[in-house]
Amino acid sequence: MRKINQEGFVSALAGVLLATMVGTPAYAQSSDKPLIGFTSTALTNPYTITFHELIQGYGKAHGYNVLPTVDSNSDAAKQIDDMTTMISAGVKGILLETVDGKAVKVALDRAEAAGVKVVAVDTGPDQGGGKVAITVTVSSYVLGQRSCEQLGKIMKGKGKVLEIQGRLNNQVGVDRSAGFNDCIKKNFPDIAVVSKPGEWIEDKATTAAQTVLSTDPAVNGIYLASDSAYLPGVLNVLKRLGRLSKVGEEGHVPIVGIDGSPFALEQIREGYLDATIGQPMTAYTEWGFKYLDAAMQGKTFSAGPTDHGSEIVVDKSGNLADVLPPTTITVENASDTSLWGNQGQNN
Amino acid sequence: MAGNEQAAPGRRGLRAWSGVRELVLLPVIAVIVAIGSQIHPAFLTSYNLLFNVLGASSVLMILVVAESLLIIAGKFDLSLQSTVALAPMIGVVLVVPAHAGGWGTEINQYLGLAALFGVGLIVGAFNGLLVTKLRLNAFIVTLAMLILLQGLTMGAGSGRTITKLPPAFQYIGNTMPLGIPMEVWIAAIVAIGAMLFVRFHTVGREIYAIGGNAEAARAAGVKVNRVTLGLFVLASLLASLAGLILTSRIASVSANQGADMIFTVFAASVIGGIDLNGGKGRLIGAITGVCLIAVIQNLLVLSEVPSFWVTAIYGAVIMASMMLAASAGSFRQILQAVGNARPDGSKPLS
Repeated sequence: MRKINQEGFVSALAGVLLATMVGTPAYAQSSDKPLIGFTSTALTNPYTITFHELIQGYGKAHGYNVLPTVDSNSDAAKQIDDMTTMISAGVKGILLETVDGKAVKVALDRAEAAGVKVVAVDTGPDQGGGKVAITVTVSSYVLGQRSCEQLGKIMKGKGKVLEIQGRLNNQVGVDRSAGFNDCIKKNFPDIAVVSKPGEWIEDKATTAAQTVLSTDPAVNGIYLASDSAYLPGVLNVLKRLGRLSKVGEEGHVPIVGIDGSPFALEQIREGYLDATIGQPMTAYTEWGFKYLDAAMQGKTFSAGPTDHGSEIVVDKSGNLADVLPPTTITVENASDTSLWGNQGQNN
Repeated sequence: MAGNEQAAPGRRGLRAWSGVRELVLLPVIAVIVAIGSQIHPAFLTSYNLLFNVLGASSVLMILVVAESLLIIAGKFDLSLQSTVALAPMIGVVLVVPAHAGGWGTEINQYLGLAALFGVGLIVGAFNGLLVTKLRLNAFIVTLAMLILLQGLTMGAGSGRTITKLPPAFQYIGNTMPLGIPMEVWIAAIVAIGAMLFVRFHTVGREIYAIGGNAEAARAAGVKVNRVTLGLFVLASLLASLAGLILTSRIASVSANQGADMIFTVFAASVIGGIDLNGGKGRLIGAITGVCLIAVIQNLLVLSEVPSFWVTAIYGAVIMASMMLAASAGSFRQILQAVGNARPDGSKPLS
């Protein structure tokens, strides 16, 4: 075993070296506009990729000087290192999609010391996670709540829901579940909820859906904490069990999700998914840039209602947050081109 | 010490027992099944066992067989989990049209399947050559490969999840010959085939010799490098097959499928008695390791354990199983001591 431990150590070192090499972008741009960096959580799913495309596209269209997007690989330590590299590369502002709301403090402290302004988009710092100019986000709790309102209405307040949760050591996962369950308890007391963790992993969610749906015939509704990760597998399970039918057809199992992925929008149009609650990604992008621009000019923001239908509040981290309203997507607006799920390159 | 099983004359009873010692997990599984039947009425139904236990663990089963063969030969392949993503990703992007996330090549879907296995072949050969010809450490080579392949998967699919799969890639997940899911058939054939191979085929038996002492095996005329290279290729091909099954189950191919799976693969192998130092352990043991994990995971979904506690309970049950198996193991040691004492009548119990 000693031999293996040594090997493990050496290979961990090798891994770190490799990861560092892979992660360093080329800083070779010059322009009179201030340099801006964008650090993404992970470029491995349609959501973050579309976000990356929107931010780069908006930056280009509005004459910003944006560095190539940096992929954190869902690794909090890597995000900190990447932000440090950006700061030493001379950026004046950073758009931050946070991997770990607490760990990011190190990087935010460095940015503050260097006079670099940071605006968090989609996910911001947590309690004790350092200072940002503002976070542009949506409430995960409200996303869960909206899903409950949709699903409860479709199920006419009766029955049993299979809830496939997100990762539960992650605030987004916890809040999407809490928002859904609190609302069910309050508004639909005759609906029971069976909750299974899916950890944002396709395979885990598919197995949970397969197991619960095949052993509990009482389940007549499904809530997915992420339609982008879970929906393809869950629809396949229903097909396998002979229970896949369209909205309005006999035996249809209503499904409501969160995210509004390209696949989810397509399934809404085809009639297999009832509804999903989407993040307002276009507004994230627009307001992310506008706030960052203002912050770089030395402006500050204050709590209260905004001119674009949202409200700036002080969030748990003590930072300001512009909490935008999510979009409820049903068959009526599933083709709307302003939805992020309809905007990616390959849709 | 690969020679454990060559029992001395007069230890017949022990030899029979030594065939069973890899099965120490069976009583543990029996206990868990008994508890499970009390937890949920649907647990012991054939549907649940076939679809939710065996079906759900078929990918793990194939990966564990592949990894166990390598571990027995004294090697590792960490990159198997990345092949699970890369092989189907390459297969799919070559087939589906550009608007569905493909490369626009739109080749025939059966050629896509061939490409899927081609990826396994190339990755396995590359790993194997680096380890045998360049004599690099398998751990480091395959760790680098794990990262490289993960990156290639992301690049190949531009990080997207592809959901419009060609029919050939969905076939396994939607086919049930004789009412048994296709993936269960495939996993069973792979497991039984591998067991027969190591037991009855000369090359299969040479794997143990290589893992026990490569130099001695080479001196005895075993083509160590060729067998090792073959094992790396076989393992990667099996990982490609596992990737195909996973893709057909989740009806999509995503850049991060298979992530973190290698930990469970090693856990199942080691729980089942495969020795990480090589040369020891039986495949049947590793297979019972997979069954144990599959049954526990199924019960955790069926039971009413609150979500926040599922992982803790999973860890606790695995640990308790290990303790049960270990106590069965010490029972075996006592028997062995008694057996040792028997031939000359003088050895004390120790």
